[in-house]
Amino acid sequence: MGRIDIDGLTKEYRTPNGPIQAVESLDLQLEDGEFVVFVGPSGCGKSTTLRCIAGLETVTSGAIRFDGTAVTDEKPKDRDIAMVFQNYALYPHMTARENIAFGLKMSTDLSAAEIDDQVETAAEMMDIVDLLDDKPGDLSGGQQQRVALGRAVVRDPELFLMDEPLSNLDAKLRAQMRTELQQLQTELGVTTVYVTHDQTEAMTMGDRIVILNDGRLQQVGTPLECYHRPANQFVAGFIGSPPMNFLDVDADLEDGRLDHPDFTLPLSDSLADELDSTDLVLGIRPEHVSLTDTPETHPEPNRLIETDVTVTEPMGDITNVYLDVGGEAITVTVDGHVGVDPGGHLHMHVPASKMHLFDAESGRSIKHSDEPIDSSSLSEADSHVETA
Amino acid sequence: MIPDEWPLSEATTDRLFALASKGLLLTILIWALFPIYWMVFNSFRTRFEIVGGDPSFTETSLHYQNYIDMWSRVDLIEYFMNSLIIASVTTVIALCIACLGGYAFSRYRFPGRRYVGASLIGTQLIPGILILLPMFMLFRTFHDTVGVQLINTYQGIIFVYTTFAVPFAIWMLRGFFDTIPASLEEAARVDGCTRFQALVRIVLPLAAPGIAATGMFVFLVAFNEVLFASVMARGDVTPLSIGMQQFMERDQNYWGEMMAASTVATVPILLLFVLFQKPIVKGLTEGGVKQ
Repeated sequence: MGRIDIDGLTKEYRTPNGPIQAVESLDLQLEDGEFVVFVGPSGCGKSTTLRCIAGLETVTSGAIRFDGTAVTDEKPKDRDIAMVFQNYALYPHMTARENIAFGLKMSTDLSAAEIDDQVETAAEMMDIVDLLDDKPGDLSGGQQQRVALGRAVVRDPELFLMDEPLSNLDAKLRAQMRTELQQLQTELGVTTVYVTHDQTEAMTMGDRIVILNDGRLQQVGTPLECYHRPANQFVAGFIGSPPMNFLDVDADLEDGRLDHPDFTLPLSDSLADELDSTDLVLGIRPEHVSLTDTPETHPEPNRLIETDVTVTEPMGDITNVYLDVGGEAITVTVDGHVGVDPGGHLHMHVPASKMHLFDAESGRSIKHSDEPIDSSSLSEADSHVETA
Repeated sequence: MIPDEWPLSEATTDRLFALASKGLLLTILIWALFPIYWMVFNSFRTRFEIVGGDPSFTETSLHYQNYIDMWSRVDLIEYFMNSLIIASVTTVIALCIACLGGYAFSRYRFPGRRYVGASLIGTQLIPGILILLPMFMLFRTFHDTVGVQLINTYQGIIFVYTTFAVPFAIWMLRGFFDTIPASLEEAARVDGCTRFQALVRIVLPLAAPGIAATGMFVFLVAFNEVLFASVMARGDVTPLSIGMQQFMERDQNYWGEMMAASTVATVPILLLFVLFQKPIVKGLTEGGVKQ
C-alpha cells in the first residue's frame, strides 16, 4: 500500500446552530512514498481530513481508498497506519520502551523478544536508546517527540500521519527536527501526510503541498508551483513569508493600463486581451520589487510607483522594508547591505514579468509571474548566477 | 483594600489576618476532632469516671478493660464483616458502572446529554427518607411477584447503595476523564486498540487516582449509612452502623465499652484512608482542574 485516493470527501459537524462543513467535496490522490503536506489556516479542515484518513472521524460522504481498497468505514486499527500527534500523545504511565512497544503488542503476534528487538532498532534510529526506561514526564519536549516518532516508525506502517508534530518545539529544535523528519521519510519511503499551519514547514518539507481554506481545496502542487503559480489570491497570500503584496486596481482595457488612485502601470496588449474583468487585484512578491532613489535613470520609469518608507526590519541577509502606497502597506525585501532609512521617499519598480493579477471578485488567478517552477540542478543554478 | 483611617500598617494587618485564619482553622480542627478524641478518651475510662459528677477532659485511669468486655456485648466482627462486604461490593459495582457512565459523558456527544447529566445530579438532591418507603414497598412487591428476597439481604442493601452511589460516582469520574486528553485514546486506537481496549489500557490507569478517590467516597458512604440499613439490613446482614446503634439502645449504661467498640470499628477505616491518602488527595485535586 502507499497510494491513497480521496474521492469527494465531505465531513459535516452538527451543531446547535446548524451543520458546519469542515471538509467539502475533497478530491485528492497521494502517490506511494510521497511526502504530502496539508497546510492552511486554523479551521481550514486540514486536521479533520487527516483524522478522516486515520479513521478517527467518520466521513459524512465520499470515499477513502488505500491502494484501491475502500477503508472509509474501517477502524483505525485496521488501516495499517501510524500517527504522530501534536501533543505527542505518549502514554504517561508507560516508559518510552513500553510506549514504543505498545503498538506492536496490540497489532501483531510478535514474541516479546522480537518486539524488544524492534523497539531497540527504532530507538537507535531515533537516537533515544538511553531514554527507553524513562517515562514521558521525565523527558524534554524534543525527547518526547523522538519517542513519539519511534512509536510510529516501529510499526513499519504503510502510511504515516503527522498532525502538527513540531508545533510544540522551540524554533531551533523545530528546524532540526524538520530536517530529521525529511531524512527519515526519505529513508523509509513511507507515504506521509503531514499537517501544519506553518507555510515554511509546508514549503520546505513537502514533495507536494495541499492548501485548504474553509474546508475547500485551494491548490495541490509542488512548493514552487504553489509559490509562483498560485491558483488564487488566497494561495498567493498564504504561501510566502513575507506574504505577497496586494493592491486593488482597475484595468483600462482600451488604453492598456492598470489604474490605482496613486499610480498607473502599463498593461501589455496580449495581457489586456486575456482579461475578462476590469476589477482586479495586483499581486507582487516582496522579493520581486526593487527600490530606487533615482527614477530619472531607471530603464522602466513607467513601471515605477512613488512610496514612503515607514519601517525597516534588518534581518541580516535581507532587510524587510515597509512602504506606504496610498495608505496601503507594501513589503519589499532588499539585500541586507542596502541601506534604507525609515521616512525616506523612494520609487518601487514592479516588473511586468513578476506581476500577478487576480479577479477581485472570485480571487481566481488571471496572470502569474514567469518564474520557473522546475528545480534546477546545482550546476544549472551556478550558470544562472554567472549569466546574471 | 485598607481604608485610609486604618490605624495599623499593611504588614501588621497581614500578620493579623494570617493569625486570624490560623485561629479559625484551629477552631474547625478542634470541632472536627473533638468527638474522636472524646470517643478514644472515654474508651479508657470506667463507667464511674464517665457518668460521675465531676466531668474531666483529661483524667483517665487507662481502663483498658472496656476493650476486653466489649466483645461480650457486641458482635463487632460480624457487624464489621457485614459492613465490609456491603461497602466493598457496592464500591466495586458502582465503580464498574460509573467508569463506563463517566467515560460516556466525558467523551460522547449524544442527544439529551446535558439533561441526563443534570438529572443525575438531581437525584442527589432528593432526601433518602422520601425514597425509603417506596423502595421498601418495591422490594416487598418484587419478593411477592418474582420470589427473590431483597429485604434484609446483602443483595438488597447493596442494590440500594449502588443506586445512590452511581450517579454521584459518574459525575465525579466524568471530571477525571475530562482531564485525560482524547489524543491518548486516539493514539491507542491507531496503535491497534478497540475503543474498549483503549479505555481499559490507557484511560483507566491514568484515571486511577480519581477512581480511588471516588471508590473511597462510595465505600465510606456505604460503610457509614444508617437510614436504609436500619430498615433493609437487619438480622444476619446487620452492618456496623446499625450494630452500634443497637448497642447504644440496648446497653445504655456501658459507655466505656461502647466507646471502645466505636474506636475499634474506626481503626480499619482510618488505616484504609491513611493507606490510600496520597492517591485520593491527588485524585481530588486533579479532578477539579481541567487541563
